[in-house]
Amino acid sequence: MVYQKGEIRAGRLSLFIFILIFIIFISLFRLQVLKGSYYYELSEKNRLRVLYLEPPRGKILDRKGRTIAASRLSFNCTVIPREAKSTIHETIRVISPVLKVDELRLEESFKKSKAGAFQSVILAEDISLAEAITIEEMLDSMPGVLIETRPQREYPYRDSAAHLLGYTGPMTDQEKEAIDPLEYRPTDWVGRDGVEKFYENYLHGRAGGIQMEVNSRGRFMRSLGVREPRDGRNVELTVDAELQKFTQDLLRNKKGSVIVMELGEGGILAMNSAPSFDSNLFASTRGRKEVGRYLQAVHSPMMNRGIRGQFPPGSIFKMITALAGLENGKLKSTASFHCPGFLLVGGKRFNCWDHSGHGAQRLTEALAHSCDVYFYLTGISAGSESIYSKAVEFGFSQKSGIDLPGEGIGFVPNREWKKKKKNQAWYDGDTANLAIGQGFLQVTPLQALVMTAALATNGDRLAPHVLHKIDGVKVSERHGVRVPMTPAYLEAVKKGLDAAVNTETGTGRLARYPGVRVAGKTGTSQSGQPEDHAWFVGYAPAEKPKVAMVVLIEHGGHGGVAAASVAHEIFGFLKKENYL
Amino acid sequence: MRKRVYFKNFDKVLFLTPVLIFIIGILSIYSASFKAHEMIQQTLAVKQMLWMGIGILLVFLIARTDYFRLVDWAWPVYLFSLLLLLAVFFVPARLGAHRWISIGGVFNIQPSEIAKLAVILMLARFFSNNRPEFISKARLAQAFLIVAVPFLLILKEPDLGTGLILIPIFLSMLYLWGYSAKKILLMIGLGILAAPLLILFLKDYQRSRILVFLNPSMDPLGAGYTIIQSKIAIGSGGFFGKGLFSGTQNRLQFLPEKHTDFIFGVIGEEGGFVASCTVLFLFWLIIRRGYQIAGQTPERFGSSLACGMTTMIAFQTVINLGMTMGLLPVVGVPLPLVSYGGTSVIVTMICIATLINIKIHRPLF
Repeated sequence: MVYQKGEIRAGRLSLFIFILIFIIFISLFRLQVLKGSYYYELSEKNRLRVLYLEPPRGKILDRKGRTIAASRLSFNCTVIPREAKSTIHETIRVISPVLKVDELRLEESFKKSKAGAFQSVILAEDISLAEAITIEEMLDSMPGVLIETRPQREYPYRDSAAHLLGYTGPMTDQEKEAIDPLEYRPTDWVGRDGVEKFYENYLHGRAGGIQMEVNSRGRFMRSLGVREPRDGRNVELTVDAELQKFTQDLLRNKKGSVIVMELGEGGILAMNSAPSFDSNLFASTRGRKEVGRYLQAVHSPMMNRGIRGQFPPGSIFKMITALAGLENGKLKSTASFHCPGFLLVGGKRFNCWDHSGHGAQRLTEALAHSCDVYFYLTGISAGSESIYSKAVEFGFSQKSGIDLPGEGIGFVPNREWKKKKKNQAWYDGDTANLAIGQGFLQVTPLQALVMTAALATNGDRLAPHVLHKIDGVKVSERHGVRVPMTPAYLEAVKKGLDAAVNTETGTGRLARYPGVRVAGKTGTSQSGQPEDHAWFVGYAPAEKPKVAMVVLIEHGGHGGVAAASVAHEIFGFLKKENYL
Repeated sequence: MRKRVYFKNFDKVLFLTPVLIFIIGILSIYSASFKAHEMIQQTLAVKQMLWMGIGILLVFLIARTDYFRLVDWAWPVYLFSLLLLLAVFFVPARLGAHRWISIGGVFNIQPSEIAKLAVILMLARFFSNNRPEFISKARLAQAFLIVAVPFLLILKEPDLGTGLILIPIFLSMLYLWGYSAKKILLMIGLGILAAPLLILFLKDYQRSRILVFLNPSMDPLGAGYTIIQSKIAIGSGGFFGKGLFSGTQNRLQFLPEKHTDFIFGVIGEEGGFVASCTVLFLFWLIIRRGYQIAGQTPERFGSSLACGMTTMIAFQTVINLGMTMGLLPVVGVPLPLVSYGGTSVIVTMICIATLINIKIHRPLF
């Protein structure tokens, strides 16, 4: 009889569960059938909304407190198709006179957006405050229409600091997955390059929000919780915006880069790259369509040539060769070499840039005239390894550590590398090429500047930086690595740099500026194309240097002409602005 | 001969109903976790199908063997699950709880799910070895102990939902065994009286969930939000639903935990009353069949086993649906076969397989 008893008991258990399931059935019926339309209404206009309070992104200021990037509030007129539904035509008819946009154009922008029914569609972007207020007042009669506010980034100096500042843009899908939800919303824009990217953590604010209940018209009923927004912090740069603009104008229609550094702390006064682009275009959805043009352009206007471009340095590298020779005792600063216009190295003819020859040259003259034969001889006797290690001491073949993203490393060749990578022996010819800054050698303009600054400061390899203050608190400081040098040898080289600008036969004489003694070195490096790259590195005042600079004009021809004349203008500006 | 018996007694309804429920579940998971840029093979739905594949394989594997061999497995499985329940505390907490053990970083197992099976197995063994008429109090205490140890460990994780499920499982098996119904009702009464005491041991969020259940508008930003949004989702589905992938509550991210515990919100919203009732009916089919098997199996072990497993599926279903509809507090119980989660799918399919097996292999007089 146990068997039957079990069956009865199992049946009762079954009945018990059935009752529970029946209760669920009843409440399903109540929820979905009896109150279905009520809940449908609730879900259509879900009464819980979050109103985000967007904090302004921090400003970027120059060293004199001028604004070079800031955010203002822009208004977009948007519509949610799901809510607008059939009234959209009428809505457009009402809105078009307010926005002064043709009805057909609005209809078109509504239709064109293939976004899902839940995503808002932008009818008109960046409308004026007055227009926004007018529309806001009419919202009751236009279901689904919204005025959305968005901080719009503005760069008043337009294209003159584009590479330095970078721009902001929407996050990629991967970034959206990786963000800290307390700090970012998926719709936030983030810094994409330059200072905007590097100092994103400071510039970015944290959105606050109000969770609230709204009535069926979407109007605020009561607040359920508030989080205060946190503003982005202002970042003040060491850059002088006016110098930046002045320099960019000098580079118009050229390709190349100029970087100016003050020698007190190593702060960058200007960092220009040409061709440039207008950061403002990246700030609006409309402008971003034009951006594709930049990305595909052959002369890569988006690249910051100053820190990312890598070029053979040519004769501006000769100081390294000279110091390498002097330091290991193979070169006496008073020794004189004869330049017949060429040198035979390993049976091959290595020309001096002046084919007629410089005649007898000592170090000062050789630097002033940039005599190649002198440095072939110096380099070969000093040896490639000592040039290599001297170059590394001066910061080549490594990042300077500047506070900007995407810095290039450059390249200094040596015997080991050639054996390993090319499986070839290192010849004297390679040493000769290296000695005059040609061959496999590649440097960034910023590295050339760091070298120049190290010479100017008698051996301090300063860490270049663009950050000056955060929210008014100074954070920059002089930070340098000591380059070991014998003062007498350094003096000999600096004398040559002085002569290069201030003697009548000096290659850099076009860089002179009345009232300030400039010292420097020109370079003309082979680019593989008919027109050479033109370089100038220099500092001023020669007696007690305050500013160092590098000028590179890609395919500009002679360094002594194309680059030195740009340097001349900039020294003039610096003099007028009391930097010298 | 034996093969013919196997096929004749293989319960096709008990096999096909879970598969149907599972298909509805897959569609809901796909809809709930849909991301436009995601390729189909990366979706949770596909991962879930993999688990179901394993589950179905298990059905055929388990159905072939004789369920009575499980008696010998009771102790090892029980001890192993206790070990896992202890091990879980040495694994870093996820989402504030020690519930998962990661295996090779690829998938996570939930020891509490395995513990439920182990408890059922142990209880079935216990009830088959003892008769209600002659049992001493001390011996009966052993049955309580079998439940109490994993119960406390699971509560400590904390995983309130899974822990509480053990109680109806135990009581239903006790009842079917032949234990006095009066005494069981007395136990339930005492339990309810002791409940406020239990609340003292709950974590803050668990306590707030229960309080919010009593008054959802108390905390509209936190726990109450879930209940309100889930009710809106289910209710707004109406009679026919909004259509697959068209649920606004689902799509607009109003629904939290929607591919796991609150998956029924997606079904209710997108499939309406029709789909909700279909799911409800399909679950009822399984449950009814399960208790039938329990009642018609003349041998105590199989009968207890079937009863425990059916009760487990039944109560998980009822509690999950109850909480998504605001009838019960949010305690975190997955909907069997529907909610995303590998362990839960496998465990449920093992139950289904065992029920099918019991029906095939039970001795008939």
